[in-house]
Amino acid sequence: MNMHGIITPAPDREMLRRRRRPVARALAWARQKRMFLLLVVLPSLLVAGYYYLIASDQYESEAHFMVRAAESTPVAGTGLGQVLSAAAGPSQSQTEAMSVADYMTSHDIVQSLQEKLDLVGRFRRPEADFFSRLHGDPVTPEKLLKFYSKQVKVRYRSDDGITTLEVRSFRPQDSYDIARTLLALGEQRVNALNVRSYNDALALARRQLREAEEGVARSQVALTRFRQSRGDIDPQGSGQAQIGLVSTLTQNLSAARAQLSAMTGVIRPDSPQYIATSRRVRALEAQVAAQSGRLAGGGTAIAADLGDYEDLRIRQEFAAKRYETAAASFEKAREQAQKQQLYVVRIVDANMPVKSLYPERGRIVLTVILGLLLVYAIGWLIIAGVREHAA
Amino acid sequence: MATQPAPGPAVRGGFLRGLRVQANVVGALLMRELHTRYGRENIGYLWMIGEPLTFAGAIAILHSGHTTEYSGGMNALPFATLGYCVFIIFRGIFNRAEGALEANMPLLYHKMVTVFDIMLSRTLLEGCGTFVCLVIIMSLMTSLGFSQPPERPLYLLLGVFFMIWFSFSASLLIVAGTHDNRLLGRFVHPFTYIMMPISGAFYQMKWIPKPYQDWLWWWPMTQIFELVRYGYFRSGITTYFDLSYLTCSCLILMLLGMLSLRIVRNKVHLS
Repeated sequence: MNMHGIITPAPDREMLRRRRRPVARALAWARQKRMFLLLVVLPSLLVAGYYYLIASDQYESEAHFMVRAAESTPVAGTGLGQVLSAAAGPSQSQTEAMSVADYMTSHDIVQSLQEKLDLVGRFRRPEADFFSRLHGDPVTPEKLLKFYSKQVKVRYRSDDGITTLEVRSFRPQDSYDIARTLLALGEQRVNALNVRSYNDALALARRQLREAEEGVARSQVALTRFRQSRGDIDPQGSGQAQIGLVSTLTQNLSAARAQLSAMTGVIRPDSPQYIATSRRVRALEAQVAAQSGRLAGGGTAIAADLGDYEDLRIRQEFAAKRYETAAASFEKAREQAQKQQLYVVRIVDANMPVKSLYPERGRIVLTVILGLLLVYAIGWLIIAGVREHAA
Repeated sequence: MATQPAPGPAVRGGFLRGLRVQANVVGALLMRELHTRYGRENIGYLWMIGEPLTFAGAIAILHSGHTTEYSGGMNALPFATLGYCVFIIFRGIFNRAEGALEANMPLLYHKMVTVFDIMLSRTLLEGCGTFVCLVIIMSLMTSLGFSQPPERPLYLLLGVFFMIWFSFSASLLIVAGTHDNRLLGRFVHPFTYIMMPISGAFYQMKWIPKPYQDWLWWWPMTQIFELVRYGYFRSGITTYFDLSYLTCSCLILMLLGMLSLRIVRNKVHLS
């Protein structure tokens, strides 16, 4: 090698380079850049090739819904208070919305969908390519659920309480059907929950009401039986009449006695008038004694009757009051339960997709290329740094 | 940019030899760092663990009065301590990056010692020390009954790894940025202090109201803390971290850091 070899290459080498065919030159270039080609270009090409040539179109149907109780409206999180209250659990309406979202991603609903729509068949359409279709024969429920959760996204947004449902499959009609059925099943589940909670809430009130009714009936029966056995429709009234009778008799008796004492000095005691008057006095005395006895005496005395009767009347009144209260609280419980009824509000109904938007080929390929470039650049820097040590 | 050596069988040998040399260099730097910083008196380089342990212990004692349970098994005490333990990984690596070059300037006379090696050895040292500290303090808490053992240890390790990686990448940027810019160096410590409350070490993303939550989501540290908590607590949630985003942001940060090191390398004056 002469001194000028660096600046002007030796003629024989010059000839060789000129004669090199472009293919060989390309090969040499490729060998020099082989790491870059292997780590960045090749994987990118593979990914792009798969997505643009092989991957089958997927259609997405989307629906939005809310789960609301009749009384509550979803409240957006307030600022500082929410931050400071560390233990701020989810609110009632949030929990319900989450429970529906949870149900929609469960094996339970997958099974129902499989029975209604033949989910496995729909995820295995002939137009689905090898990598994106559902494999396995027979398909285990676990595998189906895994595939399902890849194709169906249920997202609950806590700030506005809206749940978004996105269903992807290989045919527009399939996506549409699955989304519709999902909404219907979600509504069914909410209704079932409603019926159950409604019945639970009303069970106690209803039982109390029934007991009160029975109490009223019992006291009524006791009263009737009492009236029949005593032959007295209204002991209170007959008591009043009796008191009137006794007082009239007593008045008559005093009048008769006064007459008799007036006669005593004037008329002889064996005159017929005197005898008659004194007899009348005696008869009246007997009457008064008898009637007073009936008023408050022994066995069938009116006082005793009246006591029993009053007792029954009070019981009847109590029973009636209790019935009123029970009826009112039953009504209140029913209102409350009605208020807590949940219902699914469809904000955006499922749509029938027309154009395939998935997989997002451009985005995926771009991401892969950029990611590989990033990794390659860092790798190159590190390797160059390591090589420096060997120098 | 350094020119690539011509490809050939020699390169592979060169690479492996370089790797061996670099491993030796990093190991030697590690030992040197241990000696210069902790010396040999009393417990010596065990201070590497002892230092963060005292910090974390203080935090734990401060929070020992709190018995609030945020949700299943997430008590205030392990919550705060875990957050702090992971935070000092960042603080140790990030704070010491400033002026690392000046402290080790004489070493750069040796051709085989690079700035990258110095930073890597420091990161390994700090990362290991603080991680061991985390293990010790959390085990202590578990044995005393203040917390449960970690629920998903792999995720916890992943979170710690991400924190070390993120801090390392950031420290590369810092070392390059502060080399000939003293002003920037003044801001490193204040930045760390500001990060402590807003980095997610002491709050959960779900406590933050909506618009701010979305802004915080883009800062990788908040996601790392969410990931660590998901690894440690039974009731941790996956909602607020995204592994692909974390990986991507750490990669980009690392690339920027390494590029800026290459730029600075030519400016290092061995005065």
